[in-house]
Amino acid sequence: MAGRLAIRRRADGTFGWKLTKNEREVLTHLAKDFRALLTAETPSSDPSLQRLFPPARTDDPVEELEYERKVGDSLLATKLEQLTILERCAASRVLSEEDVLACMRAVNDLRLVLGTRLDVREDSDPADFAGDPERRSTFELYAYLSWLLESLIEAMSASGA
Amino acid sequence: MSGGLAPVEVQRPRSEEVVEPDIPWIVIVWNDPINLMSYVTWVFQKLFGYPKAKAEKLMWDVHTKGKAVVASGEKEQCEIHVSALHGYGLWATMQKDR
Repeated sequence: MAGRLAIRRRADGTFGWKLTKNEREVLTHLAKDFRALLTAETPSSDPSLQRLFPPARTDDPVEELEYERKVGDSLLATKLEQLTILERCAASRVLSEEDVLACMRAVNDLRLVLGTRLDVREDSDPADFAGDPERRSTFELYAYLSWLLESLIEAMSASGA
Repeated sequence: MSGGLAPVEVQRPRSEEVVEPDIPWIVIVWNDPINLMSYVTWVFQKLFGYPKAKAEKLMWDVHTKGKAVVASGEKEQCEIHVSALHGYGLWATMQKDR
């Protein structure tokens, strides 16, 4: 992966998005799993959901309820919409700036879910998960998404060439 | 609100009886081990329109001190900021700046 550009801003303002078939399948699969987590009828006790929907008012539980009533549903709707865009983009080769923005946010949400499940630290590396093949493979996905997000940020920050 | 017939001499109520003290609200972003430093910097630039140097300074404060005040103002405006930061996956809270 090193040195490869996943995405690049083009002169016309769109973005060329070069992913392998395998990467596109992985993103589609992750997006599907994440959608299932977000839309489960029985609210999940998965701590990653608490990370995605953190409290705004840790100083006042009553105010927090009021805040959740105001924004709770719209935050979920936004996350689902971003996920829909990521799923569409996983099959696309040219993205608009709005697509890239939504993909950044969706990819970061996926990192938050995987990272929370793995209980990662800032300095976590693959060796930390060597004894557990399933967690090791989740960490590899997490590291891949980190690389992908860096690529998206770089592409957004670059001016059109 | 003030008509021409209003008496000239009015007992001024003590201000704290009439309005809440004008304490601004602040938005705090907390450190977490998942969000990338480049991403946090980018979000501060994008959301608040901060120049890159200011966004990086705030990101370093979050990273090294555990938290940073990234915005302040009226309650409703801070609620909008917090929900936008949550939309980007950052860990943000708000409170009165006591």
